[in-house]
Amino acid sequence: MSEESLLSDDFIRQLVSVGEVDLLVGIPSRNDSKTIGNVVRAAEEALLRNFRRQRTVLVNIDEGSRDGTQEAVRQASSLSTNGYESLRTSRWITTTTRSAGGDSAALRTILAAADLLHAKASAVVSGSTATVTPDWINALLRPVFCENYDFVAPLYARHRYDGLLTRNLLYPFSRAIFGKPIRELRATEFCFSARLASECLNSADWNSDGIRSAAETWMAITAMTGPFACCQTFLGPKPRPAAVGVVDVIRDALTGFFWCLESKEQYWIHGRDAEPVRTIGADHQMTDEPVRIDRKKFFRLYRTGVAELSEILGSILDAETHAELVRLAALDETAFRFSNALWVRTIYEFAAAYHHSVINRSHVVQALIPIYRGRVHSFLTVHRSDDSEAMEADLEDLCQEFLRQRDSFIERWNTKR
Amino acid sequence: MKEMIVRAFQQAHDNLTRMLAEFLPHLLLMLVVILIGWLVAYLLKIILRGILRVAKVERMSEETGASRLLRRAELPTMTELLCRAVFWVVWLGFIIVGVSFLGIGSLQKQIADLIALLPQIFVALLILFVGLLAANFFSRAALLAGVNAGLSSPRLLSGTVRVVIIFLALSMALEQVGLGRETMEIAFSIVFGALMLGLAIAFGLGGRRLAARLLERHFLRDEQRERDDELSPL
Repeated sequence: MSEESLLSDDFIRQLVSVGEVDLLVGIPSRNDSKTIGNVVRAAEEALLRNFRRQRTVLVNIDEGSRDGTQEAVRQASSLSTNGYESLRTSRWITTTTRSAGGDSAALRTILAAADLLHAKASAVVSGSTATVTPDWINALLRPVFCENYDFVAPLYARHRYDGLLTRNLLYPFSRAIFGKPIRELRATEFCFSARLASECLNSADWNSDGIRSAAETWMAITAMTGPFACCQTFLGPKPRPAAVGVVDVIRDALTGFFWCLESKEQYWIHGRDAEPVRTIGADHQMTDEPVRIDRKKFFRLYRTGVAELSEILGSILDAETHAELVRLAALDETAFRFSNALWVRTIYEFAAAYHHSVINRSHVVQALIPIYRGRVHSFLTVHRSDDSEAMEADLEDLCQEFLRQRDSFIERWNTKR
Repeated sequence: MKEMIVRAFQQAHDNLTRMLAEFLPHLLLMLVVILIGWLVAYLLKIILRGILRVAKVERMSEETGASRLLRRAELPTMTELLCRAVFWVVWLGFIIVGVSFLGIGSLQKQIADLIALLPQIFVALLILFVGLLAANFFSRAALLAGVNAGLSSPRLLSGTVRVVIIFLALSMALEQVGLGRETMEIAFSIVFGALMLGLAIAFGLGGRRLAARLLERHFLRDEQRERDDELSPL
C-alpha cells in the first residue's frame, strides 16, 4: 500500500497545511477517552516548555473509538498551556486509520506523517497510558533531536509481577541473539529519527503476520539490527494494564518476535558480540503494591496443557525436553520449579520449530502458552519474597543462560528437522 | 469323413489365423499405447516433482499438518503422493484407451463407464483428503484454544470438531461418486441434528450455572477480578 492510499485525503490536506516540522508526537488511541486527555495535555506542555523554538505537530491516530476519544482529544488540546507559548508553529492533527492492520496501521500512519513532514524526531505515546507526564515526552524526544540517536526505547517502573513475558522471554532472548540489551521490545512509548522512519516505511513486509502482530517489536529490532544508534531512557511508572485477552496478547507478541528472528536472520546467524546500549536514568525500578494472584491456576493450566497437548509438544520439542516438562507436570505444586536452563531450552526449541514450520506456525506459538504459564507459576513462587535486586540478579542469570545455549540454538535453527 | 475332419480343422485354423491376424495389430497397438502412456506418465511425474519442489509444497504440507497425517498413515510424502497419483491417473487413462483398441464390444461399454467415473473418483478422493487435512487443522486449533482458555474438556471439543468435519467430507465424497446420495444426506442430517440437540440439552440442563457464569463474565466484566486472574505479560 502506498503512502497516498494509506493516508486519507483529509489527513494529507492537514499534513500539507502543516508543512515541515522538527518534532512530531504521535498518539494512537482506541477507546481511551478516560486517559487521552492527560496524554494530550502532557504532550502539549512538553513541546511548549522544552521545544518552544521548534516547529511541532501532534498527531492523534484514532483506531475507530466509540467512546468519544476524539472529542476528548479536542477538548484537552484546547485547554491551558500552563503559561507557555510557542515561538514557532505548533499544530494539531487528528485522523482515523483506514486499513484493518490494527496497531501496525497506526504506527505506519505515524511513520508516513513523520516522513511527509520531514520530522527530525518523532515520539509515539499511547493514548491509554494514564501516567504520561511532560517529562516523558521530553525524555523520549531529546536523545533523538539533540544527540542524534535513531531510536529511544523506554524503561518503566513496573510492578514486580508485570511484564513477565518481556522479562522471561523477549528481553533475554533478544539480548542473547541481537546483542543489544534493550528491555522493552514491545513498548507503547518510544521515539525514532527521520532515518529510521524512512527505513521502516520503505519495508515491503507491512502486510506480513509478524509486523501486523507486533509492529513496535519489529521497529525496535530493525533499529537494533541496522546502522542505527539506540538508547533507552527511564520514563516513570507504567500503569498496570487491564489483563484482557492475555492469550491474544501473548500470541501476537510471540508471532511478531519469532517472525523478526527469521527476517533478521542474516544479522545474528553467525553470532553477535554483546554491545552496550546507553541507558539514561534508572536501569530498572519496581513497584510492589499488593495484588491478588491465583498461582494455583497457573500451575493447573500448565499441567492440563502439557497433558492435553502431549502430541503437539512431541512434534515441537526434543524427546528429552518434552519428557522433562511431563515430569515437572507430575510434581506436586509446592515442589514445582521451572529452571532457567529448561526454560531457555524449551523456548529455543519452540523458536526453531516455528522457523521450520513443523506444524502450523500459529499453532506452534499457541502451544507455548501453557508452558509460559508454568514458568510464570515458578517465577511467582521463587520470587515471592525477593527484593528487586534479587530479581535483577536472577534476570541476569537468565540472560546468561540464553547466551550459553545460543550456539546450540543456531545449530538447531540451521538444521532441517 | 477324414476329409471333413481335416477341412473342419483347416477352417478352424484359418479362422484362428484370421482372428489372430486381425487381433494382433490391435494388441500391438494397445501395447504401444500403454508403453507411450507409461513414458508420458513418467515424464509428467518427473516434471511435476520439479514444480512441486520449486513451489515448496512440502513446507506447506508440514504447516497444514498434512505431512504428519501422511506419516501416521505410513504414506509417502505429499510431493511423492501427488506425483504418483498423477502418474497412475495418466497411465490408467492410456491403459483404458489402449484396451479400447482391442474392439471387444462388452468391454468397450465397461471401459466407457469407468472413464466417465474416473474424474468423479479423483474428485471424491481429493475431497476426502482435503477434509482430513481440514479436520486435522481445525481439531488442533480447537484443542489449543480449549487448553489456553482453560476449558475442562478440550479433547472433547477437538474430537467433536474432527468427527463433524470428517463426516461432512465423507458424505460429500460419497455424494460425488453417486453412492447412497439420499442415505448420506439423511444420515448426516440425523447425526448433526442429534449432536446439536444433545449439546443444547447438555448445556441447558447440565450447565446452567456454567452458562450463567460465562454470560456474567462476558457482559458484566469485572476488570479487577480479571486482572487478578492473569498478570500482564508485556
